[in-house]
Amino acid sequence: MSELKLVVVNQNSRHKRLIALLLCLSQCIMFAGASSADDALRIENGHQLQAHHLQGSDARLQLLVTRADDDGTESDWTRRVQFHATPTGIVSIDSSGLVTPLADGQVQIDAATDDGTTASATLTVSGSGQTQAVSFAGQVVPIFSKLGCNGGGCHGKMAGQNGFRLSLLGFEPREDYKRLVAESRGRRVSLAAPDRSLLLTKTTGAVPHGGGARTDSNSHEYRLLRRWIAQGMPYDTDQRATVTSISVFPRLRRLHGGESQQLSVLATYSDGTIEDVTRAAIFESNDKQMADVSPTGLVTTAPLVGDVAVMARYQEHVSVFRAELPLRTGTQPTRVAQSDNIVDRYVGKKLDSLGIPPSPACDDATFLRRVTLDLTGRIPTLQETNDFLSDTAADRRRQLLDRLLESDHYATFFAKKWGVILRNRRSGDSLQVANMLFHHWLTESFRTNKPYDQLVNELLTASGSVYSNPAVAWLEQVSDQNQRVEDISQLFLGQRIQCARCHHHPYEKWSQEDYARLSAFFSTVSKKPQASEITFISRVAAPSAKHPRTGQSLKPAGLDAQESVIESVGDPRQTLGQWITAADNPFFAKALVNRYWKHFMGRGLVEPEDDLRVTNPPSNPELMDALAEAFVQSEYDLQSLIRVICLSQTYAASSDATAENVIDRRSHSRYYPKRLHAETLLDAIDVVTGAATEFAGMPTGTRAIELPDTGFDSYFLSVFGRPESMTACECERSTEANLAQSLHLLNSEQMQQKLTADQGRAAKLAADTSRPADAKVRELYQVAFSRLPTESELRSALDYLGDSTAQREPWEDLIWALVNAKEFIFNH
Amino acid sequence: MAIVIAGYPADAPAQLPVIQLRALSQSFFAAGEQADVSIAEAVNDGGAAELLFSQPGITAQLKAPPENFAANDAAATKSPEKACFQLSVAADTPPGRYEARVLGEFGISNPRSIVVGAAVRQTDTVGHSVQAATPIEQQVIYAGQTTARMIDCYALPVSAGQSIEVRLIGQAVDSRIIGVISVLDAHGKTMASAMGSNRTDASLVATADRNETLTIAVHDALFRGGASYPYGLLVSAPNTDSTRVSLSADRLPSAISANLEAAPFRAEDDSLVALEVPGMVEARFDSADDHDGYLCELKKDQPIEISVYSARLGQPSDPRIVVDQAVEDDSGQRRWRQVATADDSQDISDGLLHLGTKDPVLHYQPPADGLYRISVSDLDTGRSLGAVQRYVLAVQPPRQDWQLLAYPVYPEKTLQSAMPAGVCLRRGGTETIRVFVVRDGMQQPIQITVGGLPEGVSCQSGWIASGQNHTDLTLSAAEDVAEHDFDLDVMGQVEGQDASAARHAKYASLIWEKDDQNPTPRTKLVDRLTIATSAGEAAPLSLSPVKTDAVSVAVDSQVTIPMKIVRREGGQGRSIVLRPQHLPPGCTAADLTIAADQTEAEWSITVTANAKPGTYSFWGQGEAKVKLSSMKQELTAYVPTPLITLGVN
Repeated sequence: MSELKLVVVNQNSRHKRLIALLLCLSQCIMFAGASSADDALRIENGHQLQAHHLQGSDARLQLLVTRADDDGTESDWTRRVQFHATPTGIVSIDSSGLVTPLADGQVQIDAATDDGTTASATLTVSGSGQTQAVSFAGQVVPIFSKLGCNGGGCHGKMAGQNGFRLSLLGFEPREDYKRLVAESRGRRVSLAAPDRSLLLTKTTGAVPHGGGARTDSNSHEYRLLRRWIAQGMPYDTDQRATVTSISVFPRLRRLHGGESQQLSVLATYSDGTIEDVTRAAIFESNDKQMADVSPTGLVTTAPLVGDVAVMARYQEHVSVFRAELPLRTGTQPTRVAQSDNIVDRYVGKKLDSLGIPPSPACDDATFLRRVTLDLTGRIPTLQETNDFLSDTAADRRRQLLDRLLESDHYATFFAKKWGVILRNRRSGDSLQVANMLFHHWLTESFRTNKPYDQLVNELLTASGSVYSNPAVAWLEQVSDQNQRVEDISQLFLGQRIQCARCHHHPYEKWSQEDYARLSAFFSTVSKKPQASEITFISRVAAPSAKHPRTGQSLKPAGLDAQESVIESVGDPRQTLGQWITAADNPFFAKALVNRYWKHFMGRGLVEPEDDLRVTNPPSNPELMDALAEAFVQSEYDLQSLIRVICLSQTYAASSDATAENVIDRRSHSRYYPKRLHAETLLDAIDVVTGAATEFAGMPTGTRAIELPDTGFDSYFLSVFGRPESMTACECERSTEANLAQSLHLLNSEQMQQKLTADQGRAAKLAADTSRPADAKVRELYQVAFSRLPTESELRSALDYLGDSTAQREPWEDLIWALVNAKEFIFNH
Repeated sequence: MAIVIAGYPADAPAQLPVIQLRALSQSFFAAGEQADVSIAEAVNDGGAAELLFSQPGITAQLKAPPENFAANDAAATKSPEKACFQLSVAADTPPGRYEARVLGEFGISNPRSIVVGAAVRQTDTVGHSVQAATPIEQQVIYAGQTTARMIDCYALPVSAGQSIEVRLIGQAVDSRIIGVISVLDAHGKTMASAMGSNRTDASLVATADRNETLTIAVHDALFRGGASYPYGLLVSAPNTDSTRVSLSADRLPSAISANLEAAPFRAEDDSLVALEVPGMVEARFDSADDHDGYLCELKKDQPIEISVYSARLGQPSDPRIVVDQAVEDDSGQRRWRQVATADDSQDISDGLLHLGTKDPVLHYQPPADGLYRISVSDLDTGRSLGAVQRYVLAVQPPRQDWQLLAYPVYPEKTLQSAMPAGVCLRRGGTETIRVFVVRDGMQQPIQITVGGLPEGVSCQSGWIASGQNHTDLTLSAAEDVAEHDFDLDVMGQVEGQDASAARHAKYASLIWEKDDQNPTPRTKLVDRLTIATSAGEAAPLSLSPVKTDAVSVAVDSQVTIPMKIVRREGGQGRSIVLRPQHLPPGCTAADLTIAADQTEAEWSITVTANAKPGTYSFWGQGEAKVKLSSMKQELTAYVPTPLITLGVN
């Protein structure tokens, strides 16, 4: 492998150096730092694209030193080598691998470990003695971002800070320039005395600054800002090359908990040049518990197991580094999990890679209760428990799944789930027909297993009266056009584009223009004012939306999609529906798959489940892709997806952690218990106590999970986190524990009434003299937990009951204890 | 004695009593049946003496006279026994919908519809669970009423492969029910479920997989119940119920303009259809995105009228018309250039009655000779009320057509808050009848007259001027008028046309007041407009112009109309506020306060420069607190004046 000639455009390059570039390219550019014969150590900062050329005195370049072990494991040795430059005086290298130019010339960089392993690379420095023009958009604004000046918490917010406003994260450099140079009587920058500019004195804390000292006068950032001021505060010319993308290196690495990894970030410009922007980039971890990252791009992992992503942002571009943290060092995936079930295949592969052994399978009783809760929102009946536990058929779990999916309870439960996030919210105290119609439409959709793409299409394109087309009720509930755009993006695409309404999305590529174009699909929707019932149609008009900043009229377009040409008589939402539900839509299937994964598995492959973005990658990308593809192949059959998940060994794993997988929080080596939803818990308590809860206006016997909207007055449901259907986020439903919940279960009047009901279970058990106490205790456990009591549990219960089995109170106490148990309150 | 009905606004000002019929105890009858029928819900039904029907074969005899009572007696602590009738339905009464009215001391009630079927069974008790489901058979209407917070369950044995159609008849009997039907299999699992609307009966078709007993569960969508929620459950083989069309008819007031005379031909497929002008075609919206196209050769400057009839035919549709003109581009290829669109028709309304329709009517003048494409699509893409909707497209020269619709104006200050009520024309009293015209190209003035008046009742004719869409007529009863109940015959004659071209009005009635689920009052077409005079207490007040001649006034001037006030028992010493009603555009009149002791007044009408010359009719509504001897509390009387004809020149 020939020596790599670094063909790098350094941070300060503003003029294309084609000749240098071509010369370097012609010398067989295949990056690998020259190393010892076994290539164990190498110096690098990218894959095919690499930065090797430092131009100008402000250039900086981050070296990465990687060492490969015999088993192929790569690790970062950047801070564990000694750097040496030959000849000296061309560059300076600090202990973190940061290279800064001193003089023009070519220099060989050698890295050496303590054990004598070496690697080398060649850099070129030019223009070190020349003063480069400072680019405002390309250099000054990134400094504001790097130092946190233009963040949403400071000068980047709408109102600015202390009279000085910058565009959020520097997305509007021209506006920033005007504010910096022209506002405040030009006192922020002083050409005559640059060091006395407020821009510098505040930034260094030389004068009081609410944000504190962001840097010091010896820093690179200070020098650059000062030079820009001294140059007369120029604004960039239109010929300036702009950043078209950035990439972080490495993209993926396996790290042992506690290890660190230096990152480098390379920016590609519109003129083809490449520049190292590592020290100018902003880094952020998506899970600070798993890993943290310093401003210089050094990622440090915690002693945990799993995956973590670190986002790098420069100007409006983002790139992601992913780290995999296996259980043991030296663990390499030794086998690919073999399974017909794609869930088991890819979860197994991930667990193998991380070296995490899965927990064993759960028993039948646990599976019965788990899947019944997950599919129908209720606990199994006594009959179901007895039938299933006595069933010896090999495919009894599959048959159970089929029965549950065919049941009305499944349809009701999932209609409830979707009704909440589709904001089927009641206005007023009494039942409203629009809520009932919408709930009925959802229930029927799930009962008939309507394909998901059809369901979404019907909702998106709903037109007409609410009686004829109940999906129209969504337009009435979500009446604001912006809200419609944000809801459908979040619900069906997993994209939270709210930020892009006011500015470029900070963590994604969506701009205000993207937002406006998506909004344009809803621009012709209007409500008929004279109709006797809720009626929405699409009026005859060319769909468009105004860019919120420029005022330009924009035609509709999906995210990352071409502009749509839609006739004025057409309904633009038809085009929107076609784009969203197209098989090649990159978001649609994954958004659903992730949502359902979280529903069953307790944690999404992406968290939050409706925040899919490049900078928030899935914990198991292969599984995500496989599930999404299978879902599309099934023609968006929701029950097919459910079967894949629920019939997997992964789903059927015990929730008991082993000593080795207790550390796993996201790779599904075991089942993660979930607290029952408010409605499910209330219904379960009613079943066990034999009492019923009345809901205003509904027939007696209506279960909480069957309620058509969230407007029913119930303290129990409120305290246990029932959502108000105010948002499209499932996070509105709280499963957090709090003291009020505990107290309510322990000694509320409502619980007391349920336990002591004359027709309740405690009364019936006490009055039942046809069976011995142990038989009744066994039945009680089967009703509450879908299992028989252990011997010690049975003994404890019988001891407690003593001779008072004909009295109600001991039975009430026993039931009280069961419904307060964690085993009852959690789906495990 | 006043009866407080659940849902009746508790704070409504007490008004002169008039009978309000809300529900009968039974709404479905079998031909040849005899049944006891009582007034289940009503207000001011004391002294109910007769139950009248629109079908001669249906008669009723009073069985139990009600106790004497005082209407609106707030101190009443118990309800009087409701009048009970023995009803007989002649064996040869054709199945269908008919109207019932109660005649009593306080006039004749608003109508309530009943249905006569070939086989009807009353379900006094119904099971409310699968286990306790009430057995039923096919081809029989099971009549009942929903119970609040309950689901009615019926059991029906079926064979494997058998399809059934289940209908919840409610609209035909003016029920408030928004029906929900669910069919459950023998295991209690839902096989099919459907919801209706406030104007459409719920119905569905289900097919059994095996020999079993199905459960048919029905309820109101909001789990409401009571006498106002009657229903008839009918199970039959699909598409065999011969009463389907008549009992499904929505009787929308806007349907009066669905004046289809020619038998249209039927378009069967979705290809472009050539249509001659004039021409009419019947077709269907087969799917949510169905767009039908019709090609017509049109002539420049020859206006045409393009109409779609669908919503007016009772279909749950919302059609739109798009007209494209065929043009050639530079390469000689035909392109279509959109030139016109049409959606809902104009809503002619007084706040109570709405004559607007979702059917588009487009008056179009082609800019050039050539080929035009008329596209018809359904903006309502929902299929919950039916998978296929039919429509008729008519393309023809503009017509000079018009229809009349009349209904009694309810004595409310704000029509939006009106309750269903009848008419009680007291001695010396007045009542207002509003007559709308739906104009289809015909803009000339129409004179409105009322026939069928008995002795002692008079009604001055009125005018619906050019550019106007309604007028109000006032029925006046003489001081000594006898008791009568009679059907009005409201007729209109276009100015300058022969009397033989006069037309009879259709009639409408307020069926239900607005509520949480219905933001506007519900009105329907009814068979007749029946009035009753009362020989009991006289009207406490009468207001009328001194002279009945037309009042002539010039534009941009004022005129004073002398008014006389007749005060009778209950109206003595009461001040009156007289408000103008239906003044023509450009005319104004301030509210006139008439002092408690005045029997004469002068009413000033200002005709501004903007007024258009013509002959107009207007009237005044007097409002006063009165005290009848039979009532313990004061009541509000709304006293309409006779029509005043205003000639603006």
